[in-house]
Amino acid sequence: MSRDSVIELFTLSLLGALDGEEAAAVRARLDARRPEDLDAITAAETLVGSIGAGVARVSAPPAARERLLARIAHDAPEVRSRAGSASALPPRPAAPSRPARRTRWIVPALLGAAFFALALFNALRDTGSTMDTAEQQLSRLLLDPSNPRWIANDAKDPAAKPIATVVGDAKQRRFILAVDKLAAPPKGKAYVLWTISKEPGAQPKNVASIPLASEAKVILEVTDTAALADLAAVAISLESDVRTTTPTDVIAVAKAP
Amino acid sequence: MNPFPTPDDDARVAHAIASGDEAALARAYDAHGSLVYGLALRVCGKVHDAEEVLQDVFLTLWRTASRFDAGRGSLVAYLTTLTRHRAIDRIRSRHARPDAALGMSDDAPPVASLAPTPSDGAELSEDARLAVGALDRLPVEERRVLELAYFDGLSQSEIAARTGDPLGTVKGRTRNALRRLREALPRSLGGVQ
Repeated sequence: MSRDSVIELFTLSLLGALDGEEAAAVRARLDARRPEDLDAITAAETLVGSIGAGVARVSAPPAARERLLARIAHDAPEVRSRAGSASALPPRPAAPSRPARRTRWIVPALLGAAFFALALFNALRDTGSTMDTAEQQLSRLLLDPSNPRWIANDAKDPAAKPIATVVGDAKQRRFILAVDKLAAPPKGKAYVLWTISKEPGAQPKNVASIPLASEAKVILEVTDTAALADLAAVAISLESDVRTTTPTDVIAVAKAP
Repeated sequence: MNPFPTPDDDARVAHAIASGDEAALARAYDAHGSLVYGLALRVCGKVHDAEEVLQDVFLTLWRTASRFDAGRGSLVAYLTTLTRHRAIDRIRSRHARPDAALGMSDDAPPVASLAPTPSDGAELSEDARLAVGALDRLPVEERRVLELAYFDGLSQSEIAARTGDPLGTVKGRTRNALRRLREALPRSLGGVQ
């Protein structure tokens, strides 16, 4: 096969234009990143990028920029606090000195991070995972466009801002739930994670509890479960009994495309 | 703004972002935010979805910039690829896609083709103009299959089902479109010139 043909195949694969076995075979070759293919992969990736770069530029609302900067300002202390713990997270370079506006985040951020770490520890203990694995695996999965991503919408108001993202692993039977922000549950209740299989007549399966002491972000790796491709939905409910076999108050649902 | 800066430029930007430099991310947003938002809007067709994709893409860049490898492609290529995948994921998840073939909805600007409008062209670099020109010169049928693959994430068999054209015809048009694009573009843009 000529180099041009290889680039063409890689480009078709990156576009998602191939079907069936051909798609799987070319995807596998792309993923293998054999040294002799690197040049063609780069050419194909650049070509696909050029197509996207040709669309009309549209200015986003100014509030979008402010929102993004506010989110990353909130993000940084969270990462720094985890890096400073006993976890095996790769050391993130220290954030540069912050202007005065940052200092007001420090105390609530540290308190939030402490609660977050406790909640995450408990949640991950339920699923047999580790803190650093969830964080690192999420980054890895997000970088691979072949991994499916579902949006978990508010069950009561699907038009509201999504509550979480579910990122599957195309190669393993696992997924990661990344909750943008979960409010502290009412006293005596806890969040429960559910999966619903695509099998006809399948009932929701209680996968794990998500105990939270305070409003926080959650990154939860769920292993030893069905692959996301085999699931019809993932849901979060609020329960009085975390061992319940039937969800009673569903607050977020992510459905298979 | 240069949509196709050098690999060194991209590497410096990514390194600064990875080191926690919020100003660097702000500069990247200022340089590429309109491209990411425009692409997200073109794919999603809804302002709300496009804004969420915009946030998602730059948050991902913020969190994973240390993994960006300028030797594998430009930051623009990285951002457009990420944007496209996230936007397609989003419309698939929401089941809220309007007529995907048109890429239009009530709250989206009418974008009828891959190419920017003339007024947008004034903001483009020479490299971006080359890309736009190459896309614009494609025969309508070939550009159409490329649009359906790129913006709607359709496979060739799905395109055939949507358009009613034979699968072989769709495959031929797709390959011809890619061949023409590569012949029209310089190597720096994935072409053969």
